[in-house]
Amino acid sequence: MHGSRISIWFFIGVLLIVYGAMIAASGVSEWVTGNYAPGVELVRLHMPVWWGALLGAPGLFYAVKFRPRKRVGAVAHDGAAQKPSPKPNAPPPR
Amino acid sequence: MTSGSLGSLPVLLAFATEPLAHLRPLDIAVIVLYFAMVLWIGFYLKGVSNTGEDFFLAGREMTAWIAGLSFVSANLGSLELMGWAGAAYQYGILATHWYWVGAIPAMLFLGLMMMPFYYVSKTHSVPGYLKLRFGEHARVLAAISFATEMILMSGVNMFAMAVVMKVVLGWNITFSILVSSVAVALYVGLGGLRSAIFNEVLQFVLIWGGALLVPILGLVQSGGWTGLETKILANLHSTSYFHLWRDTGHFASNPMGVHWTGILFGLGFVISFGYWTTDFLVVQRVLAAHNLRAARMAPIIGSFFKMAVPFIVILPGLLGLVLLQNPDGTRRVLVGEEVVSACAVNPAQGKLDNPAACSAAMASTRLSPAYKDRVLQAEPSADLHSYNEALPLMMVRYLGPGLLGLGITALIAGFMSGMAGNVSAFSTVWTYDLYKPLMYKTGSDSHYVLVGRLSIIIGVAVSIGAAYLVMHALGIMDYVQALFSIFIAPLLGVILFGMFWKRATALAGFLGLLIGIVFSASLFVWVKLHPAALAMVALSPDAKPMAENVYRALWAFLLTSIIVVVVSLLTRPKPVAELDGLVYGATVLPQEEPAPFYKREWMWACFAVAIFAALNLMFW
Repeated sequence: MHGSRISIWFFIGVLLIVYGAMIAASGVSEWVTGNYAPGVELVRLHMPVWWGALLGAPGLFYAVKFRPRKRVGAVAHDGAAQKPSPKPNAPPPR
Repeated sequence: MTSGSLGSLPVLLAFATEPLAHLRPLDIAVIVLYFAMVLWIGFYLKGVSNTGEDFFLAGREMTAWIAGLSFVSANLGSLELMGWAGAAYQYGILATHWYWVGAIPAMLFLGLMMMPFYYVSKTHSVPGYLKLRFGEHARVLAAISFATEMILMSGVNMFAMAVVMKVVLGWNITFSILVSSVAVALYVGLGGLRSAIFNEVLQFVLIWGGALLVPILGLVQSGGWTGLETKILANLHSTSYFHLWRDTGHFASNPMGVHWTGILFGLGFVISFGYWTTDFLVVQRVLAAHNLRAARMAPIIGSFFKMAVPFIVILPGLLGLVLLQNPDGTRRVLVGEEVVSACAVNPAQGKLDNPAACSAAMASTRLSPAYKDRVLQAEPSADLHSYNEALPLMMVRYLGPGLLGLGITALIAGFMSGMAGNVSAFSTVWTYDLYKPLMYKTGSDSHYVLVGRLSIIIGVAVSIGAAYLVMHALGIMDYVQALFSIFIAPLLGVILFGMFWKRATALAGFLGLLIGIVFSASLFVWVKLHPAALAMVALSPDAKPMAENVYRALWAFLLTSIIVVVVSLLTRPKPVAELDGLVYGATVLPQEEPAPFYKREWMWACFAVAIFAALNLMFW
């Protein structure tokens, strides 16, 4: 893929960070206030806190590692390999 | 491959009263953020999807990891998640066959043996390969069948998602259909296959992030795997729930009513190889790989994730057997949709519509006599839930605010990845295998991209129509789901002979496909009209509907193979020189760049085979 394109892993990283922060914050709030959602099992394990952190950590890693950078001739590490840009109006594949 | 038990899912719609879950603002925020992200990706990728290769083949620049994750994700729809969790609740670990023997050998075969021909021939689709190998007639027949199947399946997916949202959250059917279809049409229509693939990778991550916590917490509460086994034995007095093969020596000795020959040959060979190696919905993802090595590695990478999927699908179903509880603390017993519908309560009178039918329907369930009495008296706390609700019920049990939103997002993501897969594959087949050869051969590349974008919008619109058709004529859903199994077995026969036998001729390919499809459809209609015919199709009076699919596929494949062989021997084959790039033995594959052993596809395939064998032995 082309150097200036944003990696899919960056999108995933950002979403995981936001989700992790929201869920962990909700978990911390439950933990502090003791106001747990009724009918939910195993609330004393405080899973929102740990799961939020577990989502956020890889999210942070991906967001930083694959952050958009302007580099000439760079490879976007998004699962898209470096390849020359196809010419406009190139013949269609068979 | 969806669960056979989902055909009756729409029945739930008529009897959905109280939603299973109530979302809080945090849950809504999680879902809204997901929609915002998929649309952002679609708009972002619009600018780089201007050529045919960009739009229909994602520029052929995906790495093995992205193509592999997308390959698995396109198949990991919510029908899969919920249907197989429900199947695990009914049949135990036998349901895992659809993830292991029903997928792994075929995925490895695709990567190691078939991908070189798909990739080297530079075809844009599976019907496109048929054109190169067997000529225009075979291509058009396959393309029409496939395009019809894709668009109808997209409608079924759409409707099933709307039903689930209605049952789980109480959402309006039209709202769910419109929001999901507009989102899919936008992001696939804008960014093409690249956008579909990128979103499938995102959806794959979210499905795991949203669903993984349920089996983890379930295992914690049940005392680990040993505790789960002990509880199931104590409650259900059967060890069959934990064995993949041990009890498949006879149709009557396992709850699924299948025989090991049907599982191994019908599912493990015909259905599995048919789906994973010839269904363009999944093959299209691998064709987008940036080189042959990546194209071969993608299904192999996908196989490792596929082997892990039962952890988030089968295990919650098994855990639900012993952990789900009624409001009074007793063990909750799930039932079939037919029981839920027979025991519907008339809201105006507060009584059952038909107590006699309800009593008869409950007779074959595991509900306790006391609970049956409460159901018959229409006590509000004695509600009935179906097998397909096992996974949402487990989510509601363990997931609090935010986490529940993530779990629901996982279900929505699953539905959308399936729909996006359907419409992107439909768009390619329609544009290159039907519109271009039959209607307008001399268009420019940008013209075909425009046709592709329009076909996505039209395809989604037709899917919405199919969704409402299914809603108003529920029986149609069975027929639509059967399309897949009717078509795929003959296609497998034709492609395998085409790819691995130089002698196979164009007429043989076309006739094999046509007669195979007609024969397979006839078997389906025969059993539909005369259910007793199942005993003949599946070779046993003890066979259950699950066995019909696998044996019907097996017979259709055998007939197709016989036709291809006989007609090929009676007709004149193409010269070997014309088969370069299409057939094993007539193709010189390009030399791949040397790679260290840990990057070689054979090494990872051996690793996958070892894990696959170990898992089957472990749960024998």
